Amino acid sequence: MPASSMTDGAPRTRIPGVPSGQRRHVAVMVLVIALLLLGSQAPVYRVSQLTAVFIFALAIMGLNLVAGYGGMLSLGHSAILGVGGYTTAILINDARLTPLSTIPVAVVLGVLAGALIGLPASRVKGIYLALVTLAFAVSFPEFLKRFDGLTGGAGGLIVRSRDLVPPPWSGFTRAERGEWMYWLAAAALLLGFALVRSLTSSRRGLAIRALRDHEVAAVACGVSAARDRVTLFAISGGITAGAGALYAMYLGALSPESSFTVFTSIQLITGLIIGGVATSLGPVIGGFAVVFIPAVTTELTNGQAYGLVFGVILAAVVFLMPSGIAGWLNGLPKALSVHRHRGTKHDPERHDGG
Amino acid sequence: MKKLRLLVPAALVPLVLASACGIDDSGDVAGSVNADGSFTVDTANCLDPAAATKEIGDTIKFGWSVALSGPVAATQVRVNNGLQARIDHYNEAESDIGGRAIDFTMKDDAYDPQKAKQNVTEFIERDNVDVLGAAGTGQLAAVADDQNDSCVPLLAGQVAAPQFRDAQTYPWTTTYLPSNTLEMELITQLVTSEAPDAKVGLVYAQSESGESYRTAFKEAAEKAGIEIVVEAPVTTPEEAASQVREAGADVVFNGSVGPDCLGVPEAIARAGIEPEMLIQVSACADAKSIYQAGGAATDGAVLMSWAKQPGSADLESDEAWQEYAAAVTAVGGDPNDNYTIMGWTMMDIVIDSLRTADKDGLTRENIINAARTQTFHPELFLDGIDWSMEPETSLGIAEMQPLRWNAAEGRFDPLGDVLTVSK
Amino acid sequence: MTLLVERLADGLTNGFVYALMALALVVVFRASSTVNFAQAEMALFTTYLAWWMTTKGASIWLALIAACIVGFIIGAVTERTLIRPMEKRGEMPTLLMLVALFTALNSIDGLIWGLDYHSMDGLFPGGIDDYISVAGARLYFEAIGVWVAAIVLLAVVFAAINKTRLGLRMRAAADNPTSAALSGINVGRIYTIGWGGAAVLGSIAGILIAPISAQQLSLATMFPVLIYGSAAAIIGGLNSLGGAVIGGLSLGLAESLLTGYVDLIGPQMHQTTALAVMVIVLLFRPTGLFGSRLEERV
Repeated sequence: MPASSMTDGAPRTRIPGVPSGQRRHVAVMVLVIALLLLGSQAPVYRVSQLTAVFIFALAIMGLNLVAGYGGMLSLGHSAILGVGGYTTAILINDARLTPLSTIPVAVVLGVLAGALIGLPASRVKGIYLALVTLAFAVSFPEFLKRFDGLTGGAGGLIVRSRDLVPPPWSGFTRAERGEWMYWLAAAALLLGFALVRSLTSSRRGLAIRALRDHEVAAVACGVSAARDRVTLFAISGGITAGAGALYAMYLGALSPESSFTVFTSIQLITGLIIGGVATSLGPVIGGFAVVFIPAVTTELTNGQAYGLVFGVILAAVVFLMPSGIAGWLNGLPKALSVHRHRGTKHDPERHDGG
Repeated sequence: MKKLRLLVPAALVPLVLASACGIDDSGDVAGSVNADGSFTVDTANCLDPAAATKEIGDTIKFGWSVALSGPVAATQVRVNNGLQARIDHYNEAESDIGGRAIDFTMKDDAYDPQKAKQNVTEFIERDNVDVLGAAGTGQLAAVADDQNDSCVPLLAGQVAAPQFRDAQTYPWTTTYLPSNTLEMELITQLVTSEAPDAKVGLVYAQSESGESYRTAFKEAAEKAGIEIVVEAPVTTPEEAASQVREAGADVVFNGSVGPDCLGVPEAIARAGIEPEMLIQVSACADAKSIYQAGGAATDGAVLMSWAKQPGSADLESDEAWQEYAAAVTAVGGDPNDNYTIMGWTMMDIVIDSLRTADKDGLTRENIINAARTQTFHPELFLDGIDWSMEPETSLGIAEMQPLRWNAAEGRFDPLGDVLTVSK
Repeated sequence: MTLLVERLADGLTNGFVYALMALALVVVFRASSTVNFAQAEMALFTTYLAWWMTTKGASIWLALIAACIVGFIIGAVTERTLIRPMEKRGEMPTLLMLVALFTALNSIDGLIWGLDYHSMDGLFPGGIDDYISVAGARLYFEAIGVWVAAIVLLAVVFAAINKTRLGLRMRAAADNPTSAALSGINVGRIYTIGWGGAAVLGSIAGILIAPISAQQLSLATMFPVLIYGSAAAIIGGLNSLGGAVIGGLSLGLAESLLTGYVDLIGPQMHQTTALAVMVIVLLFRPTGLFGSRLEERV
């Protein structure tokens, strides 16, 4: 993937009137918390929908590390999501652990699963790698069925809502589980956001992007291709598995045939593309896309048109907004200022946000 | 990287603290069975107890979350025709639940549990529905707890899985499809009487339903002393048929659904096996796409049924059938479709629960109390078979009629009497 | 013995269909360096079309020809409108375009033809008595027909690529587009023809498999064929025509024999087995058994 199609979420240019450095960070945090508070006041079904948005956004955030910053298309993230979900469900049901305490275990297993899926990335590249990851996605439901003693097989697992009550210290009651999940998912998403940001702006992050854009040159400069790729997959796996754990807690039901197939991977990828590959806000926008597009098409057509709408939107975004909505938004101030400088002169090149 | 090293432990600390304790296991009582066998649900645990006991106004709101799209929605849309037709028939010709109209909405979940949860949350919280419906085990699993906590009855869920029959665990949920355990017991009864000393080849799909049929059949066969000579999974129908032939089975039980309803009988015939009896599951009751298409391969196939079959000679003079056929045609459906018949009977049962509940005042509480103890004969059920619910087992369908496919006439003929499990 | 012959025959039938799908994928890969994720869905669309024509009274052979023509148009139009503009943008946008097409096509099939299963009559007699006996096993004409059709088709494809002027241009355009263009070959048109031809192969594969598929003709018929076909193409090497055929056949046979005879794998791990073979091959030979090494451009 050429560097030109990638944009980073953080515009380095200073916008006049916006305070810089620490103060800007504080302002952004205040804004985010205000938005979250506003969201939590929405009707219950909206809060539930937003919770799903946050969970998918977190899953896509993990995918973004590999597919966006790493330039390696993974179709295997449905399996990682499943590893997280099943870990949480099994630990709650069989080991009787509290939901929260299962999250670290799910993340650790997700790291291992990510590393396993990423291992071939040290040797296999590009389209071949995409197909290797596809293999993991297709195999995962078959594994669940094979080891049905643990996973409930094709019938899946149920986690009862009384096992998912908010912990007493949270101040939420059993009836307020929806709000508790909303805040938990929001906190996890913010944590994931911070983690990805600090990772991609670190030296290691630069090395990874160099590897994506100019591998031979990067290796010549002392970057270890194999190690960095596997590490990236591992961290990505941890984040997506975290989302899987939340998914199990949110839904209370896991089903291999409907929740963790390769079509889930396609859904995550579509979300990432619409949101914006290799941008920090892209996954969040992608989460909204994944949850709201089906909701809207169901309201409008109530049927089979969903896949068609999804496909058309995906193709349109790839065509018209190569760096997704987030990339297009980032390009907006620049495009506007170009217009101002050139007066009325029309510049079609700028319109596609590229 | 420095920031990262600080962040991770900071995030883990509360999580590790939280892990100090496990889950407190103390159940709560969901409802009680009275001396006269009736059921009283406990509304004290409801999130909004007042809503459960409030009389329903002029419109009864129904919300159904079902698959309307996706590769596996094939049969579901045919069931939906029956559901919709029955509702339309009520609104146009009956309106006899205190003169109320039914406002019925179906929302697509594409067999995705997450979308089902979203649909049901919207139904409960935004649309304030009085009655819910859902199809598919995974989908019901994702919504059952929310729906029970909110105390909105979910009636005639299109699911066979046994866990949802437990009135103490899911007091506000009833399911329609017959228990696989019961169906398998009746099948073994039939095998014992029709083909004593049978050597049974058990063919099963590697799906949720297939594994469930397999377990239930093995248990029933063991009880009845029937020998199973091979258990053949449908990796491909051909492979399964080969295994059945190698094992020398003379009775074949096909515990698979969907396209394998036809694929397995065809493969059996093609492997050169002529079993004494080929038994299909009730979910394979689609005369049109399975038995008419199967020709010689499905001639004589046997299955259990509780509903009337299209093509029977006496339907012409059957008033209930004529009403049904007109209503289904009006929604663009095919009356001769077994899945549509099923949808109609499901909604028939739901509407009857509402009628019964209306006698004591139509509230959500009374609706579920009525549904848990309902005895009713849907007119499209076969004569002699009732829908009977009682809170202990919540079976609903407890009797079935064995049918045999008659390829020459293109219809099912009864094979012996209605079977039931001796209590 | 009977069981072995049956398993070999099943494996061979599936193997030939996988080989055709793999070959289609390889032809596309040689043109555009991508795996056509939508190949199977294009085939499903034309198979539905053929089935629909037969329900309207058309002969299956006429339907086959129509499906091939429509298939060629879909393939060619896809290349010109969706893939060519992505050429400079790299692997991922191209792949995403195909994912979009994959989702949209399946949905369109459902919108036009509904969600039901259909049992489709094949090109060859499919009656219950249309078989010959070999060692007690029944080899049905439907299966033998698939073998013969696939062999003929493979022979035609190889002859076209190796013996005709068009084939020569195709090979030149695939091996070195720049020098092919310099020597006057219209590389773009060659690619368009390649995509069209691949879709024709897919259409034929679809019409061969649908009558004998366990899924019958439904929206889920072709996805497994894509999985096995791409695994076969990868095992053989994505730019090797012969490799695709060998990959497809060996995968079909291995699948049938391994799941039949090796208890440890278990019947649930059907696709996993095929894909595990693919991953193992890739780990040892990152471009497949017969694929040539990808060049690294700095």
